[in-house]
Amino acid sequence: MSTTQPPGSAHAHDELPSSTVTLIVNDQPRSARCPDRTLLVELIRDELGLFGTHAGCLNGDCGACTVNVDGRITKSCLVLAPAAEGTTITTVEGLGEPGALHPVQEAFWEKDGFQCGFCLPGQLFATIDLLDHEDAPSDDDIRGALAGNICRCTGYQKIIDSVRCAAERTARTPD
Amino acid sequence: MIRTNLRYHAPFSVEDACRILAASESGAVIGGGTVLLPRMTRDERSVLDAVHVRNLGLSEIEQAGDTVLIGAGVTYTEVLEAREGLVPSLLTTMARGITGGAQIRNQGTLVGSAAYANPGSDVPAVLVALDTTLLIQGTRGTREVRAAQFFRGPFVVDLGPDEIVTQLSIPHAEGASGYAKLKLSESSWPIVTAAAVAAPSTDGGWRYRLAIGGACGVPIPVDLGFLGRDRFELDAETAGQVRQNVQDTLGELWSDELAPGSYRQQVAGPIALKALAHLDQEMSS
Repeated sequence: MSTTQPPGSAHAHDELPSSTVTLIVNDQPRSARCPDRTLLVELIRDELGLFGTHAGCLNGDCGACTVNVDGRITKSCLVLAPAAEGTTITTVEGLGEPGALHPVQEAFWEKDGFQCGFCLPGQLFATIDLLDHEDAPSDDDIRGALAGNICRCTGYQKIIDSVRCAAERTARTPD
Repeated sequence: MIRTNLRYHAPFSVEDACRILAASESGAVIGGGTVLLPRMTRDERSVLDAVHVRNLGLSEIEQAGDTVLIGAGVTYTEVLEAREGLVPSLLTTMARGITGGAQIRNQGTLVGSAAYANPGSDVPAVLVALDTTLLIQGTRGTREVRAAQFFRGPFVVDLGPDEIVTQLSIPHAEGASGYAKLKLSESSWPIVTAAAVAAPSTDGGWRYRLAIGGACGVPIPVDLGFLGRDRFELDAETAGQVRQNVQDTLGELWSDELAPGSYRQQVAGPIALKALAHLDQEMSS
């Protein structure tokens, strides 16, 4: 990252402009050096080794690369890694773990809300985001909330069932 | 993987941002990145210097007298979360319908969409209908451009290589609004959009504005003078006149892989009427 370096009228192409990115990922301070052209999804997977975040369309359509950045669900293929400097990120690995799944993960598990699992990060984060804003979502609310995520297995009905189940569970769970 | 060996800049002043852009062989401003980054990933756009707006202090929505100022870093979600009455209802209606899910609404910016000027995107016609002025800063100073003049052609805007759109300035004179769009699938760009506004006039009546997006290369303002200054009734005669005015106003039609210009021309009138019906409904309520 540069706030002072001169712009590249002709970068010395043998020297790749690079940045050290320091951020909090899943409650852990992390730091990595990467070329400025690195996408956040590439940083998360290739530098931080968190492979639950998937690189799908790289076009902002499929949602498989979704993470939470500073409280907002975000498609990490649409962010340059240096732009994530100083942020707090939760990836799908930070939601829960075997034996202690997030309630939304439990609902997806119980209702067979995923098949190949590729789109799962986006579906989970979109569901959590929906339930953060809406306790009792309608089917239209659910479909609208999932609209930024594409399931290549086309298992949408099971996903909607899973979200409905998660909504019922979280509504029953006292704060 | 982006193939260009770009350098990322996050300057702390607009002046510095403009200097970086001016000195670069190929600079670009990143607002939300939702359009620019995929284009860079696909190698459709080669950028040597990517200038991010994040530290420029342009992430606010502010009231300034009888206008509202929307900074270059303001996202659709931030428009939706603005306190009631701060932003025109047309903007919130549009922001709620942005394609791509909550993630895109969290990341995409109004100014970024305006600067990209995709004929089929939601923002251009809305900015024209709201009589928006774009505040622009470059190395030679600042200037203001009305939205109707800012959009010069498909993907072409009145913006120099060293310039940044810093804010949108929108007159806070909207009394009611209506918005409609036609798109063929959930994740697709709109084919045609229509944005309608009723602004209270000083004589106690209304001034109506309508803009059509997607039918031509730029958003097209449509004359609604025949509606007068009173509340209108959207009866068959009025609807016919609206359709006729839309057809008469459309210039060179826009075609792309989603729809030919002839199709856009045919649906522009009905979509305009849908927006006016929403406007009428809002005025009634």
